[in-house]
Amino acid sequence: MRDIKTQNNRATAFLLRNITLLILLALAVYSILFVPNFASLSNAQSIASQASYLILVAIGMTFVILNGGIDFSVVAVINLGSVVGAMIMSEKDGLLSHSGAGFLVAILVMLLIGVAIGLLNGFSVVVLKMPSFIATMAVNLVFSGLAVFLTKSDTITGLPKAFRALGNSQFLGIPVSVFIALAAVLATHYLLSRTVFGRRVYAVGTTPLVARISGTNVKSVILRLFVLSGFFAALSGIVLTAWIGAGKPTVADDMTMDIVSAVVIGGTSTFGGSGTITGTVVGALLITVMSSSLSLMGLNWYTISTIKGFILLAVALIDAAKRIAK
Amino acid sequence: MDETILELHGIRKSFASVRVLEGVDLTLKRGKVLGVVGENGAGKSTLMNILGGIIKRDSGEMLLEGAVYEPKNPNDAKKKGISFIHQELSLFGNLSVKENLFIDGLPTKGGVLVNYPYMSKRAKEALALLGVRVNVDKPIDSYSMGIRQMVEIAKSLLRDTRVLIFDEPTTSLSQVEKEDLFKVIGDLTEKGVSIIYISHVLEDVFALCEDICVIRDGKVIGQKPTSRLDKDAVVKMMVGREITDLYPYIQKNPGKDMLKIEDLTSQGKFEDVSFDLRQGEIVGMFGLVGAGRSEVARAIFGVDPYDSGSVSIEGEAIAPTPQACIAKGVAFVTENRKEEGVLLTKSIQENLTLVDLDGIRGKFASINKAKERSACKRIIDLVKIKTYDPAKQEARQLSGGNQQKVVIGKWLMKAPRVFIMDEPTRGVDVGAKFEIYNYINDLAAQNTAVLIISSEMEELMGICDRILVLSKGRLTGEMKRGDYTQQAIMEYAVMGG
Amino acid sequence: MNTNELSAKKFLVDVLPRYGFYLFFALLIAVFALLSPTFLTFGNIVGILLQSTSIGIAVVGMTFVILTAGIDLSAGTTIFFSATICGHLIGNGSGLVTVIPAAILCGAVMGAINGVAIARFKVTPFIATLATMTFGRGLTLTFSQAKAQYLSGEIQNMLMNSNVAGIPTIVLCMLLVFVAGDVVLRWTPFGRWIYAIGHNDAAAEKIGLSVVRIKFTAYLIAGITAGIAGLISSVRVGAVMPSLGMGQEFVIISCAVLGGVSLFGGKGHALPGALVGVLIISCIENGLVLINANPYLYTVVRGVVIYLSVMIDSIQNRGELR
Repeated sequence: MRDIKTQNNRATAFLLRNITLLILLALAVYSILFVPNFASLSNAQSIASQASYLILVAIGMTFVILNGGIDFSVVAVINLGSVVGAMIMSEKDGLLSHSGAGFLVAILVMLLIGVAIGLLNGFSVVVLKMPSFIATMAVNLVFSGLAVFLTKSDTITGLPKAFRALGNSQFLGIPVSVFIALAAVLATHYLLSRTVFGRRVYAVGTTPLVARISGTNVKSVILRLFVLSGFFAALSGIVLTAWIGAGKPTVADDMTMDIVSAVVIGGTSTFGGSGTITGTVVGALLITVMSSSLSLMGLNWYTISTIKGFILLAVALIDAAKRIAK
Repeated sequence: MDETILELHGIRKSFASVRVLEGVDLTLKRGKVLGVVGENGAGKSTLMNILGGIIKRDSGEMLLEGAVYEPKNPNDAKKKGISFIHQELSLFGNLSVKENLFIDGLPTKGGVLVNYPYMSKRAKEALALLGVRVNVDKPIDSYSMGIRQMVEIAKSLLRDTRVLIFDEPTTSLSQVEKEDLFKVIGDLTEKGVSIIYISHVLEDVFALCEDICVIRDGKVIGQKPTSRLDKDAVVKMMVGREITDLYPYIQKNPGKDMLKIEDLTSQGKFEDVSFDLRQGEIVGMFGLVGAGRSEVARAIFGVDPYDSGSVSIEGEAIAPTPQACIAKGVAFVTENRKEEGVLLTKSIQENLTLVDLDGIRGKFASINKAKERSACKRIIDLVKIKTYDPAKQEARQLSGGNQQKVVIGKWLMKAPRVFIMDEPTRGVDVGAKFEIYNYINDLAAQNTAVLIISSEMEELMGICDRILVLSKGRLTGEMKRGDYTQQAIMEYAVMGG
Repeated sequence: MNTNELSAKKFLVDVLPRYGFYLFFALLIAVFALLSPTFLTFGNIVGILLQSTSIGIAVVGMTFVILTAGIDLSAGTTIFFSATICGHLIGNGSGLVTVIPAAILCGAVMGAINGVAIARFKVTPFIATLATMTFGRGLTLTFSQAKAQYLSGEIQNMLMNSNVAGIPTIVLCMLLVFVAGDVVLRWTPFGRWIYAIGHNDAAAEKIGLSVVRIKFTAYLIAGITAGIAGLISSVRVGAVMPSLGMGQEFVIISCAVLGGVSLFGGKGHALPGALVGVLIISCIENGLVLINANPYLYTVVRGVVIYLSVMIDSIQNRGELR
């Protein structure tokens, strides 16, 4: 009798721990079977692309939320990167329009923008001790505004083919962006779960004082978390800009909710100290599949948005309730 | 005839399986001051918490003015006239003095608007009774500790308090403020308020109290009129235990000077503290509440800043940061393992490896899992941590003793040259305690310099080569093994300072 | 016995930062007055006040929440929600008698959801209100089908054109709300408890204050004021755009922080502080228009203003490393 009981307990525990993945699988199966046009190659590729750039920026966000904070400036990193990158590499009248390798410089600059904004955020939180939610939002306003200012709201077209290939070419039927995202996932998963730095990140997110007394430079770790967030946002921006084929100052404007949801639904606690990259990947996939499926079912973007907001609220409540229970 | 206002009979209390109070009897006379004296951990706080309605007793009876007294919660206790002035005052720095006085029952005009003029008047009156004249409209954090304490006392006066309990009230007070407090206590008793005064500063207790009650190991050793006691007698009652062979001591030959602390000063916490630790030596640091021992340790390790003085290892000065100390081979187990020592929600392995993450490095900045497992196994066996799976079991599932071993274990990963431990056996069962003493000895045998801060005198007398005593932020005494007496150590510890 | 006050030096450190922003305000007015001759005209001043009514009212409620060391990122959504419902009712011929309670109700619903999540379930404020922000906007858009709504008629005339001695009624309403908020904060037990909780909610709990109920009420109030702001916004503009209120919560927050209400809780006032904060922000926006600043730079300026005001708040009142 007791063996069956422990078997049941273990099964339940397994189910609960992987609930997001199970819901994703259930939703995917349902959509393939019952949602019109869902199970087509073009839709699969579309989902793959969208998931890729969401995963990239959500990875960065995971690091920050692991510390109990948040980074609202990822939108600015993508927007500004998109615009500045386009300004550099556009074959129409970009700064390096005549250079064949212009897009390489553009990519580098876009990444640097991410790192620089990340440094600014880190400085604000660690040195100036500002709350992350408002410091990063202020930074977001400044640099998103800058992006709009630079282009006077226009989009910049004429991006080189080599660059656009990052977004819309395929390898074995799979969009290139998926491979980029995969590489990022593997790298960051390794970083968080297998390296010394990863251990420090978890320690700082759990109880910073314990980490400090045990010899971790807490300030340095937190600073690096924001830099990582900026970097991966920039990477996401590169892929996204390539996909839409233009530099657009408002390209990431509605992404914040999806990014935060992907991370939180993926199991990262908003109180810090627990969460994984794989969890975020599952969360991002769930969001993307859900968006596609619901949209193909005929729901409006705002109805879908309502559902997402509701899910975030529900997950946050569960996360908080769990914490009280312990 | 002196009237008895409060009687306690046979109060017993246990936490988990630990007996904290074993049948306490206490009598408080109306309008008199009863001093309650005892070492840290003797059970004074628990007893007062029971009186103040914060925790419930297991058995025994309490009578207030002849009637059965069983407070359900602190508010209930307050209503029955028993007020407790804790060490941490429950005041709101951003609110004014008068608001703090009335915060849990703000008087209103017409039930809606706060009646400030009434509050001002009553606040001034209440404070005047205590001889305090301040601007009651200013926020309370612009006033010193002495005034704030007076405000806390005034709070209880506004409530028609019959019994007022003070818990170590003079720890943060200046001499002048202390004298003011004593005068106030005198006035209060004249008005019929009965007072329980917990303190380790024996001069004060003798000056203020008509009776003294000494508590030791959860029992009242004796309650006698002050006139029939002297300091020696009280100290004897506080410490009069038999020293059994619970403590393993090994003979050592201390080597060269390892850690040198010179004139370490942090305003308000400790002053001009200087001492040395030698290789292979076990030094104890004793002191009562507020003596400043943990503060000194934290300053040495760079957890909190200090104002002046120097810390050096083998002649080289160390920067006041945990990293610099760890790099030079200093280890530090803090007093508060739940908030500063262990990551409760993380696995035992993650906890054990936290200090010496470099030691388990593999290729490409990764963690070599095999190294991690073997390093953890080594420590777990060494320190005898009971765990079914160190990679999976979370630290919070362990007993207090095992958690403490995890904290100690993580520092042992890096073979420390100097090991500072603050209350290493607090909240640890007897078996685990003995194990901890054994590897403290092992550490010393390997030439580590060990500093143990403890409130258990016997523990220090049992295993230390030297004992330093801190009182009120100053080093008041140092004794070598062979010269130890409980009396002498306690006398150093209760020096007014 | 003598009054044991701490030294005069500390007094300076306390007082100066607290009133520094008044100096800044005065400076700001001076600068804009110099740069543009029309800045200090009666018409312009009334215009500034008029422009600031809707946000201003919401700032009062936000002040309550920030004082408890919380935050409400859903204010902009509440404004939109209320504006949409009110716009709909006005379009169907409802009068002020229906519309005003409706606005309050809309705000109360949003505020209650936030309050339960944060006060009762202890969800981190910025996450909870981020969720309600999205959820609420989506729900409202579903109702309005994401279409713009145009209003006209009685109510508009009534609210917009009535005035007392040249000052629009709406502006007087805003001032009334500020006075009411300030009275509650300074003169009622509830208000004093808000300050206590913001300073140390653990001690407040220990003393026996019902922290959960008080925090819940703070979010309720924030919701209600945002609801009223939504009504005013819809009537003033004469239309409800699907993007109404987006990002406004940060403007509202920056008005409060600029006005000395600390994000770390327990510090700051509705009057004069938060009101001055509103005026400063409005002057900046108005001034930017008058000096023909590039409109694309407005967001940038807003971001800089928020950043600087929070930076000053943080330096003065130190937070954790999150």
